[in-house]
Amino acid sequence: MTEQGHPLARGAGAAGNAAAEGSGSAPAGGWKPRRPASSEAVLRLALESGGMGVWQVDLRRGMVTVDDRLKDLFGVAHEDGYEFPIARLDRSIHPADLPGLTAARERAHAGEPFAAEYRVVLGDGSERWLAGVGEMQPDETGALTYGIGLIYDITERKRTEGALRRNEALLHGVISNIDANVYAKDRRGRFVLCNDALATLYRTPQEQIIGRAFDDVFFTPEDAARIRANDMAVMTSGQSLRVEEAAVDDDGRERTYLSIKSPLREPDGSIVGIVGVTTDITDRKQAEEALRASEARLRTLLDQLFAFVGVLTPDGVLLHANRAPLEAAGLQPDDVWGKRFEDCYWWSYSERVQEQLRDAMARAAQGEVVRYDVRVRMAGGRLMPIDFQVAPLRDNAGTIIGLIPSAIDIEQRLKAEDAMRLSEARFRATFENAAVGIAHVGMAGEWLRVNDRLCEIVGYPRDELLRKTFQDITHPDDIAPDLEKFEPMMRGELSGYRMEKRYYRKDGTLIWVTLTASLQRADDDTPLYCIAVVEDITERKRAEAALAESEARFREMADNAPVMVWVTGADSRCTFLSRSWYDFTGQTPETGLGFGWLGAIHPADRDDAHETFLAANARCEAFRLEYRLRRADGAYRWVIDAAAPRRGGDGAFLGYIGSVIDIDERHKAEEHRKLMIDELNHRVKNTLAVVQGMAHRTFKGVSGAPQAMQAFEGRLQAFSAAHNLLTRGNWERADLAVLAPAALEAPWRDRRVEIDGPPLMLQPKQAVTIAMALHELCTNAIKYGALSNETGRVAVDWSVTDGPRFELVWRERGGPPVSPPKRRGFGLLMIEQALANDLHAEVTMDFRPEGLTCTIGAALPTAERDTQ
Amino acid sequence: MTGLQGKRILLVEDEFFVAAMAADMLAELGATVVGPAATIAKGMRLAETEALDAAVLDLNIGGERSDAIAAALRARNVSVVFATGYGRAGLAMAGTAAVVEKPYSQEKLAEALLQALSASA
Repeated sequence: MTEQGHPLARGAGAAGNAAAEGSGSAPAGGWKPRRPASSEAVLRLALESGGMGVWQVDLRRGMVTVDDRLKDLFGVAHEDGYEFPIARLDRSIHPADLPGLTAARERAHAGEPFAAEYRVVLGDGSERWLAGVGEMQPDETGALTYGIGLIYDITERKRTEGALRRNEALLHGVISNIDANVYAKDRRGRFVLCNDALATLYRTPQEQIIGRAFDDVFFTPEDAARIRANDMAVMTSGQSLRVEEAAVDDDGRERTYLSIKSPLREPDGSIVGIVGVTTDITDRKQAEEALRASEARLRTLLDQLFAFVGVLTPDGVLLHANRAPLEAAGLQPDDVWGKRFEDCYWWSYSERVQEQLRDAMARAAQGEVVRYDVRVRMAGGRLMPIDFQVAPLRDNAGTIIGLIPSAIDIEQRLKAEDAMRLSEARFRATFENAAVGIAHVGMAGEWLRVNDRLCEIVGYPRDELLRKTFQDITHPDDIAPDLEKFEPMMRGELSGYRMEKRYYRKDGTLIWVTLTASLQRADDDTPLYCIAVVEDITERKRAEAALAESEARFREMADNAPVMVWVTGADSRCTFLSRSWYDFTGQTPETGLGFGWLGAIHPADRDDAHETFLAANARCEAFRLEYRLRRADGAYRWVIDAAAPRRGGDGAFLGYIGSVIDIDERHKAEEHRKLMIDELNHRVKNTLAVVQGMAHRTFKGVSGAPQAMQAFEGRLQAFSAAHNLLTRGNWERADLAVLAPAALEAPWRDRRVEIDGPPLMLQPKQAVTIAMALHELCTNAIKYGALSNETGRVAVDWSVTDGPRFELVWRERGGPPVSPPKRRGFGLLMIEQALANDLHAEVTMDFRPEGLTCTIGAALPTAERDTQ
Repeated sequence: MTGLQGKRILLVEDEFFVAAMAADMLAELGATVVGPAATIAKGMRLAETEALDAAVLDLNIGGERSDAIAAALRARNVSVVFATGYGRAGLAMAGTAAVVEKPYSQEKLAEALLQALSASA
């Protein structure tokens, strides 16, 4: 301290007291310490100052004495001496600090200790913070005019204080704006600090919070007790505490807070309270709860699924496993951890399974991943199928340090697979046993899968067919029409199609099939393959072709036949007329079909023809018509139209097929023949009449002749009558039912003869002979028998018996008693002999007393005999 | 047989034996036979000139039909019986006239004549 001996040490003028200025003109020079004690005080100050500047001020003179140190602080040149006017030094003081300095001087002038901090601005513009302290001392008059003090440089301190202030501002900003509640409490729980957030939380202004105990208003007693316990723990232990605190907020909702509490220490380390930062984590807690719940669910799910993950040592000792497989097997961790894996309960049901596992672990220990399906034993002994895997666990260097066994429950999968297999089996059965050909066809037409029936249809062995496409065996003309549908279908634009097409069998024969194709899609809807169902319709096609050919043949035949052919439907309408009909009538299909054909029939015959035709249709019976048909040239020709019903396979009436034959020539010939027969008959009868006349002339006047003549005439009449009937039947046949009354004309009309019998056609010769026989029987009855009196009667009847034969019985009753005649007359002889001769008939004449019974039996005329 | 007693009956028949027999039959029945005529011409002359009650005409006289004679007789209101061997066909040709089929008996001839006479009466 060299300054201690420096003259300045005696008269250090303080820079400080502005009061000196205000005191008017300062006494210039001559300042002397009036109290020697003051020198001791200066010395003490100097000793205490430790290098600080020392000043003395004399207010009466307005001068201040400073030492070298002070001159350095004020930037005053050393050569200027040690005493300066106060104002001179004040010029160096920062203007902003002068008012504060002046105020401090005035307080000092009033007797208070002087203390001021102010800045001086040095010649280079730099600033320094100085602090001045001192006191004023009374002079001989008691006035405080002399002062002494120290000035020291506080620039560094001020800089630190500024940084602190900035830090504090920053801290304040942080704690004010932070979302967390920041607070400090003293040992009694009174708030000494709180931020805006806390104020907001408590809905209370910050000023009103400070100084109040936290449990005073803001918490329920229970919450407050827990919080206080936490606070006490911090204060007792001196350790920070991170703790969740629950509290009910003003709205009654449970809130959860995370608090970080630290002890609040005095500079001496004593703990005076706590500092806390508390964050509301209710929402986070809820999210965590939700997560936990979801995790629990997931875990439950996983546990149910029996997902197993464990860790094994390389030699197979179970170190750890997740909970699910333990629980599923009813095990505690201690039951299995540390045991050899294959010895665990899960595998205990089978040595083979244990062996398999041992082997798998050994292979995994060599670096292999081994995977297989196996069953594990569950609680209660049930075996559950799992997909099991054991894989090596390696460290960073690649060394195998353990094994990871894992497994998942595949029970559901297996069930699904079983169901699939069943369905597959069913499908396969259907596929293979189908009566139709079934195939799966790929995108390019390749056979992917074919059933036996398809192989049969196309005649290829399966393996050979599977190397082909459907195009390979399709008739060239059918490939394009097929692909026209197949390709869009395989693009998914068409769900299926159906067509008739031809395949070539392996042996080269061509077959017809019906193809029904449909698209099989994958689960994601993309086209997969085509399902083709193939039916062999070759036979049907052949039948169709045969039918078409048969129809064509019919048409050709009908068109070229000498007869006209027509066909009608069940509705009676004509659907077909042969070309010969059109050629004959000049009709066209337009004018002839339907009912148009009637228009070609002669008007006189048309109605009958129409009526007969409709009546036959109503009964579905065959019919035959004769009518005149107009020819294209307008001439009418007689035709026979004969028709037979057409019936379907089930017997249903389908209409008619008919033929029309031109019989005009025959018809005319018939007419002619009738005419000829009539003429012949006429001539025969004329001749008979002449014969009769000749007999009449010949026996005229002869004795006994009239009776004979009468018998002769009767016979001639009967003969003639039979001829008449035969003429009516064109000399072909005569009906006995007509012939008999004619032969027995008069007695029959007189009701003395009863005639009964079915229609029976007789040949001309038979007819004449029977007519003559009946005439003779009748003549005999008139002369001798039942017709010879007034009461007798005759019954004539005949019947047809097997053979065929007919039997005619002539039975007389009611006549005079009969005895067999002694001599047969011509009549009876004629009956017996002529019948036997001409008819080969058996005749019995039974002359009973009650009357003659004559029985005539003969074979029926046959068709052959009819043709004589 | 009284029905024909005194009746004048024209007989036209080209067959001699038949004509003779018919004349006998009519005579026996009490009738007076006019003719017999064997030709259409003679029959026509008699039919136009003689007083007649009835006539028995053979339908076919030498290949010619006796319709003209029948017409002339009907014009004079004389009943006509056709005698014919034509049967049904002959009946059709005879129209509404009475017919007796050849060969006929005396009874049938008388029957036919009486029927004709009553019809025209």
